Amino acid sequence: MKSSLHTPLFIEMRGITKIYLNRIPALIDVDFDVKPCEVHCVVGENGAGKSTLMKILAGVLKPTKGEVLVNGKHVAFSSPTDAQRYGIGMVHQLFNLVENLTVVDNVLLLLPLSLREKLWINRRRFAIDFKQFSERIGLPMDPFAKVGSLSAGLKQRLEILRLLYLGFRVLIFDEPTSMLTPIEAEELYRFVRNAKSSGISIIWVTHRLNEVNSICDRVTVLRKGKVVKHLAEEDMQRGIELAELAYYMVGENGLEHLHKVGHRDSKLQSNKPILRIENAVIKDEHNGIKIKNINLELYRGEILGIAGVSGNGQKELVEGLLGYRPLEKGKITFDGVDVTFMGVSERLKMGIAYIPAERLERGVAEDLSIVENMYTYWINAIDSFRKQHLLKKKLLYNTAVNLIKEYDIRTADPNFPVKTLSGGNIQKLILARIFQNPYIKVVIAEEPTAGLDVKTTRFVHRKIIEASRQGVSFIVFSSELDELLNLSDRLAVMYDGRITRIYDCVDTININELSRYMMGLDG
Amino acid sequence: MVTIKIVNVVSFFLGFSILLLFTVLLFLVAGLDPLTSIHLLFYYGFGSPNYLIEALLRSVPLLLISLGLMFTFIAGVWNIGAEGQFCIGAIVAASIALYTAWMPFPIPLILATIGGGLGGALYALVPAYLRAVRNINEVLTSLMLNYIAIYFVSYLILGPLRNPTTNFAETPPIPETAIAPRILSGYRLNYLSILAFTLIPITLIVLSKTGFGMSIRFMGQNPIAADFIAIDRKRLILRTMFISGFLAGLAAAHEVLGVVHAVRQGISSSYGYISIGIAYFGGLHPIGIFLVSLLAAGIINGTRLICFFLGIPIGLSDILFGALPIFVFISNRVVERLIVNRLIYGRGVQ
Repeated sequence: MKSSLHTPLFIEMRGITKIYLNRIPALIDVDFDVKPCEVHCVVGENGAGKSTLMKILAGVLKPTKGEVLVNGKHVAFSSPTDAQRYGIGMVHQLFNLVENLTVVDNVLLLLPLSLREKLWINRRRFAIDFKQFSERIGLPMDPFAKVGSLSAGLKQRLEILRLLYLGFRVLIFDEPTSMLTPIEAEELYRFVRNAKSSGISIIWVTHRLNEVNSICDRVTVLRKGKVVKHLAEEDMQRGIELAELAYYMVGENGLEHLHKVGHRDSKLQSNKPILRIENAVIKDEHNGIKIKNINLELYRGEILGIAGVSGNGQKELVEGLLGYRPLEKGKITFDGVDVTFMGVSERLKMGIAYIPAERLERGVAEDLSIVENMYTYWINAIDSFRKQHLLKKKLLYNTAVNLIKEYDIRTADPNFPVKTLSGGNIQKLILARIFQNPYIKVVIAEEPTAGLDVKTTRFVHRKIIEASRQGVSFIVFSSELDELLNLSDRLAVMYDGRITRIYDCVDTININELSRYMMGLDG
Repeated sequence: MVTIKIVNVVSFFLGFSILLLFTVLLFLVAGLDPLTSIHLLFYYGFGSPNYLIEALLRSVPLLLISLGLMFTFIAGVWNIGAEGQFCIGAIVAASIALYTAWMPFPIPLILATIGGGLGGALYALVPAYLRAVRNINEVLTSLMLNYIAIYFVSYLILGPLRNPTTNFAETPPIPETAIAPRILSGYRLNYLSILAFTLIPITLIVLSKTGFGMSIRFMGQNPIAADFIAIDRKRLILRTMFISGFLAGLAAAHEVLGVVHAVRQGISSSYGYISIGIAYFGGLHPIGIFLVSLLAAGIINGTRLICFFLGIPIGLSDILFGALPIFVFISNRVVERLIVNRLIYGRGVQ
């Protein structure tokens, strides 16, 4: 089992392209390689394509185009088992363990034994063997502990040990420190630094940049499905500026020729805020505190941009503002009313609107027609419609058809289901139905232009600015720094569940300083 | 949209042909000549005015229950508990009829009818509440509540409500003041049946012209997105289940006050389960459901008679209706894959 210690692997991935069913490419022509005995970091924001690339390497996904070579030989992984045969394994973010069994049993589960061997196995001897193995590796572990009682760090350790015990040569760590305490993380770093010497290659996927300097030999930066930067050993030895790396991660272009299309004369602070969130604490679904005391105010007619590497609590903040996720602590006031304990539909009926990043999951019902997707929102969100017993269908239909023309939603027939539309047209549909609602006061927009072409992006920006001139306020969450700098009146920076900085005037922002705040290197 | 309606009709006929093929197969297995048997089956189902009116009468409970189920299924709420809601509705209607017999004629009838509906509705609110507020799977709760209802009714008609004169396991006969009068003498079709048929246009309007109808459609297609377009999901779950239970109770009231005139063991004849298939086979559309429940009623009547005349087991119709949802599923899938995606939208989606 522990045989292949002396056959290091050299992996190459060439021209990998992956297009998911939603027709938005996740990876575009990506080259990536792993040398024997190295730690190769893959950094990028959430949604940059890191996980997709790793899943292809681990055999979970098949690439749409491109090839994978192991030691110069072409391989086609059609399942994780295929990748495992070559010794490539993944340490999952959420662990793949049976909680009710002991550590030994969890290891035994994966051993490829024959039925005879399974029946006659000496668990005691195996346990001793495993214990010695774990000590030799430098990750000691009690073989008879129950997995359910282990901490996240120990569970991860078990996953690693298990893969090593089975003779895996390439370990893929997907955001490995996200669930660990600082001490556990430090132990993991130590292991990673030592592992190289025993012939193991490690791919370390992260969006935490401070990890990069301490453990990595090489770094590949992904952004929007493309490799934007590759740092070889020489670069790493010279030492890298984290802010520079951050810069590659969130976007590098267009910074010189920044021109603001915005509009605000900074008089807004004097009014009372339309939306105010005070001392908010919000948990994520794993019960970890994701928002740690946030205070924000949104004024009438302003566009407030929220910058930050995604995964720093943006999603939780959006859901907290909408009422989809409860606040552990704190208070939200909207238009003078305390809405902290109101549900989503109540808040939306009061005049909050939502432009979701996950359009298909949260925005539309794909099998219903375009017009139905529009007016079902109006009849639920607008008071005067809800009070009618019989709807004026003709009027609703005509309004929808006019909007389809005005927003140039490309379809052969307004009665076609939404699943026949492209991503950009679905976004236009969502915008169209929101801006048709005259009672909208606040719009919470998540990645409003993700996956859209240049023309549609400009269209969306124009619509947002037009609406804000008419007094609608926006909170825009975006991973596109350019977009935020173009749109926002004020810009808040979010890091690790806090607002680390608020810029009152976007024009004077120093990009270098901004990216340092985004990485949590300052303040 | 016209094309969509055509697709529904195509899907219906495809499902119907599979059903016929399956019936032929069953007759062959039973060692009968399939063509004559099918001819007889449809003759006894619809072949004369008398048989046709009997089919209409039997279609009433099926129609009512499946119209109710239609709302929940459109909303993505899986009410499997119509059987139990029917039983509770039946016993409530009968009890009200028995205890208000002293009032003048139409009052006990009206009270018992409404009471039957409310009985079913309140019973449906139990799984609805658990689903809406506690997020407990309504398939399990509504299904399990069926057995509670069935055995509770058994207890009542074997105990407190047992007919003292005959001592059979049934309630005393429904008093004259609560019996739904017949429309034509000699035929069992009654005024409550008419009420049921008027519900077809009403449900059609509710579905297509009200905010409720459109919102449940959206919620059924994408419950998560429903939250984000201001649909109050909890309320809609409670409402659809209330309607569904009410119509199941109404169906029971029709059987008790208009047809059987008592509550007996097995009064529901599995209508609650058969109607699940009917609601789907009818394309979750009131008119489709009406046609399918009439067809189903004829087939039920027809199989009972030919089973009697040809000496084959009476379970034939149970087999047919047990298999019906599978056929519906197959035909819907085939039509969706082959016709809708390819020809109408001009691309193979997914």
